[in-house]
Amino acid sequence: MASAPPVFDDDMDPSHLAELDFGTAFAAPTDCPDCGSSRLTAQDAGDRTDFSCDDCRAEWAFRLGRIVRVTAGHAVPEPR
Amino acid sequence: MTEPWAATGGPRHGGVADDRVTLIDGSTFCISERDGRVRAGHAQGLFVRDSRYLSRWELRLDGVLPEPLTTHGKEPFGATFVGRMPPQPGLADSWLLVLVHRFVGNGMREDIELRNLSGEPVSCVVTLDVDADFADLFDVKGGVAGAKGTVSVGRGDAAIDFTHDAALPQGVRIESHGAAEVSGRTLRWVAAIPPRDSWTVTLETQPFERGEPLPLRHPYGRPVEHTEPARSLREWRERGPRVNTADGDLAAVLRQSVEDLGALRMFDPEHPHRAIVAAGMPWFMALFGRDSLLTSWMLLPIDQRLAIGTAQTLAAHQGAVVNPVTEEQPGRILHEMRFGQSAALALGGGTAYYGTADATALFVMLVGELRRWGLDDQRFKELLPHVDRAMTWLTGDGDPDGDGFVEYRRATENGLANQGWKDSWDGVTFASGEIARAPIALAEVQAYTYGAYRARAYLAGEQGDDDARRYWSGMAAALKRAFNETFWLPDRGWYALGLDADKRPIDALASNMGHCLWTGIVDDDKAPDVARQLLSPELFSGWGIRTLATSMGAYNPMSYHNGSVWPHDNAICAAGLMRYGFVAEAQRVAVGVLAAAREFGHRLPELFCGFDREEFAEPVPYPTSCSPQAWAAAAPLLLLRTLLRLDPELPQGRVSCDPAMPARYLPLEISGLRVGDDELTIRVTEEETVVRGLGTPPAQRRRPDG
Ligand SMILES: [Zn+2]
Ligand SMILES: [Zn+2]
Repeated sequence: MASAPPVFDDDMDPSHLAELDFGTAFAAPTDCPDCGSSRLTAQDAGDRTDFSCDDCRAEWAFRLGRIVRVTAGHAVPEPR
Repeated sequence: MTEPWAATGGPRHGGVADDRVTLIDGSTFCISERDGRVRAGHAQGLFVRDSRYLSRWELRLDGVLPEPLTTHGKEPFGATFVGRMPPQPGLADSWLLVLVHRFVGNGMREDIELRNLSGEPVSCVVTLDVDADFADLFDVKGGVAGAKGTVSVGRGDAAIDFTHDAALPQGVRIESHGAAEVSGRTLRWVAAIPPRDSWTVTLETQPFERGEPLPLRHPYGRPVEHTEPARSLREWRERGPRVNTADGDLAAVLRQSVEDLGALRMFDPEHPHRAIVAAGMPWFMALFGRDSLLTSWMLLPIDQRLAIGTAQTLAAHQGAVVNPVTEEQPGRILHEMRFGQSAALALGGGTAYYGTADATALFVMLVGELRRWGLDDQRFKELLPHVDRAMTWLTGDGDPDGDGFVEYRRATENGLANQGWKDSWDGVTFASGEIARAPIALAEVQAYTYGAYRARAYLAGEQGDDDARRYWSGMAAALKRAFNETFWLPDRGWYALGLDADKRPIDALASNMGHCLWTGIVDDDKAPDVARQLLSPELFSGWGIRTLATSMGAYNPMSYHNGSVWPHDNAICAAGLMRYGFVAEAQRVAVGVLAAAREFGHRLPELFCGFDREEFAEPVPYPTSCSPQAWAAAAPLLLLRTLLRLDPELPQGRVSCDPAMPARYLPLEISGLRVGDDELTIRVTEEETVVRGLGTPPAQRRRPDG
């Protein structure tokens, strides 16, 4: 499948771009931010779903489009 | 705990939406003024698992509130409130800076820091007035907060304890790390700060349930982790469709939609890769049937993942048995659910509540529409049995009196009184203002049911099942006939918004009939009257169509459902107007709502007040409106689709596109639009429309009429 060539000519400027990349916005976390492992497992954490890394054991939560550490794994030093 | 599920009924008082700061983590959130203060008697406070553990939080220096300077924080769960001691009389400047670092998560931690910027020592008395009322979350949003059970206050060593004697015993301890005097509901410190030095104290707010402390996410003595945007962590970013437009505001609104829907992303621990979204921040961080179905329907041309994830998740929890407490019935699609072990607690014993009259029909409509957008055979086959169980509900338990109209009445006092989208206790009224009595058959619920019958007939036809196609087409035709006979008010020139317990037409002029245009249940000869009413000065404010006309007894532009303007409601009305060929009217609604979005910083809130645009130059925010709200964030995408007049029939290899775009957005181009196996580019100028990339049939070229 060939993608369509851009047809927005120079004479159509000024134009404003919106990238509707919902695929990325709706993606589940896939890689551990610490060790890069792709073996992340979703876990019931009471009032939300966390993601734990099968390799380094770090745990992550998703909040309003952001990723935050819940517990550190063994591959990284404890946060200062 | 009181009513365990969420009436979305609005408050009757509260602060201005723009002046609030909301921090959130899981089911914990804190709403405060911009200076961090939680004011008693307002829809503010610290909420954990649907109860308010702090209803007052006021810091004073020498008896005076700090003067707010700014608030910052990139984390959803934390912020720093920056203020200063007000200048002494006769002095131009203040030398005392106040920094309050707040973090929420199963409770709250706050680090208060006073910085003496002067060369002289400073001494001041710091006080913190606190209170806890353990009010139910939805009572607070509804403006009827009041603790049930008794609250008692005790004091510990540098701590205040509140305990709530109720069915679920709760407590909260507010503890100072750093010696403090305690009297009543006030903590007090004396801060003596050397020149160019600072003074700090940390406070922990620790909730208890049944005597057990909840584990604080950000306890004293541990540094707080910072977050990264989840999207930036992905090396590989999926390229989605792109919109180029001459209108910078339209582009900004669309970008905000992606941002907001991504922020509302939820995860089912069993199926973390199924896309689903919460209904709205901060009040509705749970999966709602109606909200998620309409949101994902609005997104369909751009992204089908959300619709697939939503349909699969709702199908997995489709009602199986009769349970009056949760209003579960076989085939019924749920109203609200939460994931996780604590969900059962929050929802009063179950994980889902089913009290909704419309989600079941919307579910069928969504699956039908998904198929038209090219849903694959495998997933379609998995969803079809759920569609048929939904049909059984629509024609059975959904219509208990067997009159052919779906109606609702709650099964217990704890259920929702109104089970359409206008679910305030006073959301369904007669023209006189009288509140309608259940069972109620809403106009838009019949419209969605008609849409469901049509969708089922379409699916049957597509499968080559002619008997089923004829059957459901016949059901649709019969419902349309009965609806137009029963709901149309010839003396008024509009549709009743419902039938009450005595089958009396509920004769108020309201936005509900716009949804009837959307699904096509309106007779052609009545549509011009409906269009005229929707755009009348009584309903159209200039920013959008009001929920209820100004001429109605219950009209109040500052109410939740009786005169306010809801963006998602307007997007559906605009789609309905366009469906019946009312191009100028649909454009007027779309342009009005998008103009309102610009005034809200390009993020449409859940709703705003219904004042006339000529009365106020800017739309007036609604207090305690959710923002972001899923279907408000999705509304611009439905408006875009409506203006493009984009309609698919992928199984037949057809896509039609016949733009009726107002000139201000032109030229406009959408590229990378995936429909089936093709990737389309649609380019619209004032002169022509060009569609490229469609495999079968060959590219079309049409002139827009508009
Ligand atoms: Zn790891
Ligand atoms: Zn009925």
